Amino acid sequence: MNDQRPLLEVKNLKKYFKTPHGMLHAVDDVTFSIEEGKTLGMVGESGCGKSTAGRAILRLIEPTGGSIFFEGEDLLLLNRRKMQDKRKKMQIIFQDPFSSLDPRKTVSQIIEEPLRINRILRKKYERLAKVLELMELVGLAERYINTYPHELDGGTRQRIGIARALAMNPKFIVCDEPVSALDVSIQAQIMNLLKQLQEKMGLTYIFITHDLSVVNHFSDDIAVMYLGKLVEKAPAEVLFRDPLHPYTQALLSAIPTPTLKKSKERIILKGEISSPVEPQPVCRFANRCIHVMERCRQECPELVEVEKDRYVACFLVGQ
Amino acid sequence: MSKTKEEVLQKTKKYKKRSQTVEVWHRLLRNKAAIIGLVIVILLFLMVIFADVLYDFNDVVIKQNIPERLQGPSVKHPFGTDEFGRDLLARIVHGGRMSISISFISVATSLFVGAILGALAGYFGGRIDMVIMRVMDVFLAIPPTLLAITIVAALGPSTVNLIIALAVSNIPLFSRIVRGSVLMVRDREFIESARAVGANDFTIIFDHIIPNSFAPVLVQTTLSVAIVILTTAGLSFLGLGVQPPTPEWGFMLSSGRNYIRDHGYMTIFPGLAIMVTILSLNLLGDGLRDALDPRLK
Amino acid sequence: MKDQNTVTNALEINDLVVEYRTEDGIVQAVNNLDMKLEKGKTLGLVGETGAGKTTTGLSILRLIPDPPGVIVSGEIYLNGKNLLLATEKAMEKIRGKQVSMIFQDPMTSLNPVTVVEDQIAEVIELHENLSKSKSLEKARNMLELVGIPGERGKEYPHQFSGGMKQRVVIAIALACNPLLLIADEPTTALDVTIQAQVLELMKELRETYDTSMLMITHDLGVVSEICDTVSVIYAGRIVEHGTLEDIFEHTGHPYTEGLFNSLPNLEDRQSKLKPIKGLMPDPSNLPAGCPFHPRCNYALEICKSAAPPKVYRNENHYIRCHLYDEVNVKTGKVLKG
Repeated sequence: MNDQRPLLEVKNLKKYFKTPHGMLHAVDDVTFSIEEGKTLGMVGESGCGKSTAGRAILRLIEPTGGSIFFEGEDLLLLNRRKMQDKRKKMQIIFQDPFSSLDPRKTVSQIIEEPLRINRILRKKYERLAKVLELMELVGLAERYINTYPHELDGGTRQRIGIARALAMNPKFIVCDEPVSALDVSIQAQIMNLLKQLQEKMGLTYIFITHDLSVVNHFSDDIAVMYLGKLVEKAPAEVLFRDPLHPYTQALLSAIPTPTLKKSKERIILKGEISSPVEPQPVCRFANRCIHVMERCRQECPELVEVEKDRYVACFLVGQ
Repeated sequence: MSKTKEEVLQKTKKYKKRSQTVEVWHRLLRNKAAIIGLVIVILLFLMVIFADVLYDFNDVVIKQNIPERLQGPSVKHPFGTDEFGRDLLARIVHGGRMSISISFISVATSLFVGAILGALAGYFGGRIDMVIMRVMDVFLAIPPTLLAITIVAALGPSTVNLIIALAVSNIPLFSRIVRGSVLMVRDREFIESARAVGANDFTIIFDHIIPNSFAPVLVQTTLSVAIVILTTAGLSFLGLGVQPPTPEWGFMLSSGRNYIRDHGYMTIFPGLAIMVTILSLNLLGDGLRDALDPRLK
Repeated sequence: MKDQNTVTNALEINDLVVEYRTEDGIVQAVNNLDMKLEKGKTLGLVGETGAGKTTTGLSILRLIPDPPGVIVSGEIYLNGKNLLLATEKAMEKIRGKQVSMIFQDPMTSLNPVTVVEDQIAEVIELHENLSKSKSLEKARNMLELVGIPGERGKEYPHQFSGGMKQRVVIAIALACNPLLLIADEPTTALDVTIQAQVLELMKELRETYDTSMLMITHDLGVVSEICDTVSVIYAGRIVEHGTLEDIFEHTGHPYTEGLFNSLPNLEDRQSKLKPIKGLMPDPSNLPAGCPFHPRCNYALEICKSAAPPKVYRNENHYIRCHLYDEVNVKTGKVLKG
């Protein structure tokens, strides 16, 4: 096993959608990498492209351009059968535990499906045994084995989704807002579970969320996205201690903290998010940025490594 | 943690599946009208199955018996006899067998073909959808009864041709319903989840989309059976359906017209048979729609 | 009738009981709920899904769907007047004028086929007896007040972003300068930076209009930004109530403590999250005694059978918990944190 090379390397990933008004740049030229066993948090507000990027990496949506190196191989060059094979190692956990499970299938059928489709464990009872094993791993009571999703609550359903994602023993899991739809006290339970599983099974995660307090707790590195572009990437505690990009600063200061001691002045952004359709080749944050300069309205800043492992795309910093 | 086959199976047998079908069944049973419909439909089914046991086809149903002609209802002939002396009750029972089997076979065919076309159109969208749906639109532009008449007229009147005509005229309806259902399910997240674990289109359509699109189709099926029975009766009334001497309700209605003044029972009983059948199927269909519709999602 | 002292309260709820009578059983949504809100202040009603927060809000406006909902008993005083005794006609005059509500989802709160200034003007026309043109003028002023240029009044809701739609909703709610504004999770559906903008706006408007506000939310962060007092609701009852300081610095009830512990601590990344074990109770089948006891780390034998009484720590702060008595509630060393 090559420890030097990152497990996942994404280079210049693009995803554009055709709309009646022109090309929508959902994900635009995104580059980053993740080491095995680590968690990359991807944050940003709605429309920033984080969910699209997550799905594009798994080729659930076909990327428009770029390369995705998983274990050294470019996924975009693989044919259908080879990609099918790779899928066993790359899975996804969805946000909505209500719509991501087939309402007509029982818990064991849902968890068993990946095994059945990929012809892992040919005998029915072998698959059932694996299902029971997975249920225990994620904290699902045995008695749920023949129940239907609608009979269970959000947190339990999400555990089903997690068990299903683990069925084929993947190396890499994209967690797309896995706790956003859950109550606060259940969120904590699921987060702890995901962390345990990572330690136990050596999993690598991309953790997509809009909730910054959650991502801080969970990630090694954090990538901040705005309108399809990666604007800052840094190790988590560095990002929180000293955010460099003005958007990251505003984002962090906007989080309502549940304490009475307000340590910082809140940065309230002005204006609205500009359109991702046919964007101008300028900084996309320019119209809301409190530090905006002339240059920002004329060019688009590149993502630059300003220190070891710290990347920022802003003319104020290191350009 | 290796488990033997027996251990595993034993464990899972402990936890019974609270089947969704059972739940729907319970909800259906709460609806009094639906129960009435269901009971009558079951009785009709039994009648169809045991038709031959009750009345021998050649001896009683089609064999003429002139001395007993045009008798009113009595103990020997509870529904009376027709102009050829044949027992009317026997003819209604066998006529029912014709009507019901014809409608079931033709609706089943429509459903099968329509569902495949609708599922393909809904799932793949784009050009496939456009082609299939425009063809269906052409057929839909023609009233189903008229279409059936045209087909029978072209192929010649016989029971088989009747079934073909009825089946074809209902395919567009089912394809449209299935397509609509599929469109609603296609973009749900659990379909994406199936793709993420490696399912191909075929598996997704049969394993996930069709079971989840089922409900509206089931309701439409019961209602369509009723309509087809009516259409069959209509066509037979016009002489384009089942050919004599095989009994059929519509045909019996038609031939009874000539005797309607003094022997009204010859039209009343076939008419009642049609009415009761249609009503019960409609009640059942409505009840199914209510039982399947809310809360299940 | 209430005496002069308590008319300083914009809202007072006593012993409210609300049930939903369904085919599958009776859902006890609100169980003997008490609440007080002083004029000009903001009360945060904090709880998770299914605790009864929205039902409480709807009860004040008497908008509980009936059937299957029934307000069984209790009193709701708006500025001294018992709303539960008012006629439906009287309530129609009160809604939008004396009490306004804003809901969580701005997407569905606005009429998609009417331009926004008309929607604001409608409320004004209904309650203030102004002419159409004067109402429209006032509507445009409201838009400016919430930070939207007046010319945009002629646009339809779908032409606005989520944050702007919510501002329109706020404009409608405040158009007639109501005594009480009930905000049900007004920022939950919005992005963090937009949430910050909307909260700032609400704070400003509250100053300008001196509106009393009931802020229904599950987010303790939002509570700390905008509320003066806090009521923590669990299984349809208030389990703890106090000022912001009381709740944040002298947390009393185990559930409140659990809520704080479930939140990721921005200061301390390494600490493990401490979720509350178990699940929210089924409101059609509540546990006997204290409804929180199955999930409580401090549960005593008595908690299983007897509902806990209110124990006051000071004039404002009370806790419904058997752990407390007159003595230890003041020393504040009961919970382990």
